[in-house]
Amino acid sequence: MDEQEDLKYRKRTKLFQRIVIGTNTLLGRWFTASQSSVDMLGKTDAAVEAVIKETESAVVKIGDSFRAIVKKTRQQTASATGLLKGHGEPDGLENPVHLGLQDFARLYEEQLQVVTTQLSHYSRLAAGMVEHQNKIRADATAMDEVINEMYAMSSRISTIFLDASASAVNQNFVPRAFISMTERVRAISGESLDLTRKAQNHLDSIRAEVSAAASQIREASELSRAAAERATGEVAKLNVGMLSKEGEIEATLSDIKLLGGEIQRDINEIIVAMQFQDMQQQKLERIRTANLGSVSESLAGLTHETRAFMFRDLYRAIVAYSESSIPLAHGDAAHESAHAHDVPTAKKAADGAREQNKIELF
Amino acid sequence: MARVLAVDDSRTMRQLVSFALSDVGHEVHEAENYDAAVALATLHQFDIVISDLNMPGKNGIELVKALRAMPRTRFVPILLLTTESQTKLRDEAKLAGATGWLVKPFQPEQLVAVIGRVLRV
Repeated sequence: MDEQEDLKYRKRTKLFQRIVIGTNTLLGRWFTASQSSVDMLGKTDAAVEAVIKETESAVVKIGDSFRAIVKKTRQQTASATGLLKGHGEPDGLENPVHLGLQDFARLYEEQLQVVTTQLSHYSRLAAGMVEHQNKIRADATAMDEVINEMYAMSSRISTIFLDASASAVNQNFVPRAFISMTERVRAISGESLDLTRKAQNHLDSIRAEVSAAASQIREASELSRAAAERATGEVAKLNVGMLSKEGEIEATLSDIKLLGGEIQRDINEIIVAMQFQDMQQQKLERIRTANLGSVSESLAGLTHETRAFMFRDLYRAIVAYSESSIPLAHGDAAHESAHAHDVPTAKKAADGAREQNKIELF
Repeated sequence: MARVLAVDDSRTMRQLVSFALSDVGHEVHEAENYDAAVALATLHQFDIVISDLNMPGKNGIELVKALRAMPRTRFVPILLLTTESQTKLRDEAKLAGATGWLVKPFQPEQLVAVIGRVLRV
């Protein structure tokens, strides 16, 4: 082996050593990077798993809370329905405790109807009484007139007697005048009798009217008393039921209030659970952005370096190898060094070598 | 009741704040970020602002500073609702003019009580 051949071998060996070292270093970095990526992906995966579990737990909690709400709402509805329909068949006022609110409402309406009917009857009676009172007032007015007339007649009689007395005194007794006077007094007495009869009639009429009025008032009073008694008794019975119902209503309202509070607590739990879910989602988003982003960045850098290594050193080595084993075209060897970093040129050379099937790539 | 501006990039969180406060009669308006919040605060008068701390773009503290610089919102109470509990951030928020700091998750009744306390309603 001459000196020139030896130099070529050394040069080749050196280049291959560089390739091996470069490849080894690069593989080492690939290993580290992929290990780091695996670690980061592992962490991300663990975080995602935690998020999934927590989300699942939150969803389950939300579901449970909603189920609880639905159940409690059903209970409320059942309570309200039970209260409205009553717990048994209505058996009238004898046992109003078992009546539902609707039955109570119906019975109250009936009682109200009875009372209203009686009151309107009483009202008609009252109107009749007013009519009687008007008649009495008219009769009384007539009586006043009669009495006034009677007073006037008395006055006239007195005057007549005074006149007659005076004439008798002046004329020393005048029998004809006295006769005339007696006739006039008789006539007046007749008028007075008629007036008295009229007055009597009026009084009779008044008495009858008052009597009728009194009777109607008694009747009205009786009806009123009966209505009041009936209403009092029935309302008292209903009140017993209502008192019982009132207790039921109170208890139901208390239950509803209690359930309302529980529902509110459930809703609050839902709100908190949904916040956890949202927080976990945001955390996942941050992890994804931070970890996967950096993994992606380091992988991109490594890819760039690998490509540069391949274009620069590997193709250079290939060119050098082909130069050492195959006689290169004139001028190629001179250009090889100058274009060591010119990837397209090196690539062309490699492609050219590949075309000639003289190079075996490992 | 109060007119509330809820600022959060999370729609869920905005809705939860809205749900908790609307339930007791408050009127809640929503903004998804700094810009939307500032735009709404420019147009409308709010009694209180509840903002998330960590939002894409400008964060809650920057929003506090911006609102404190606007005449309309200079004295409007601002509560920061966040998962962060760092003292440094808390101090920074306080220095910027935040009225309060609530750590998520919040209990609806606590949020209502805090608002009641801040607004004295």
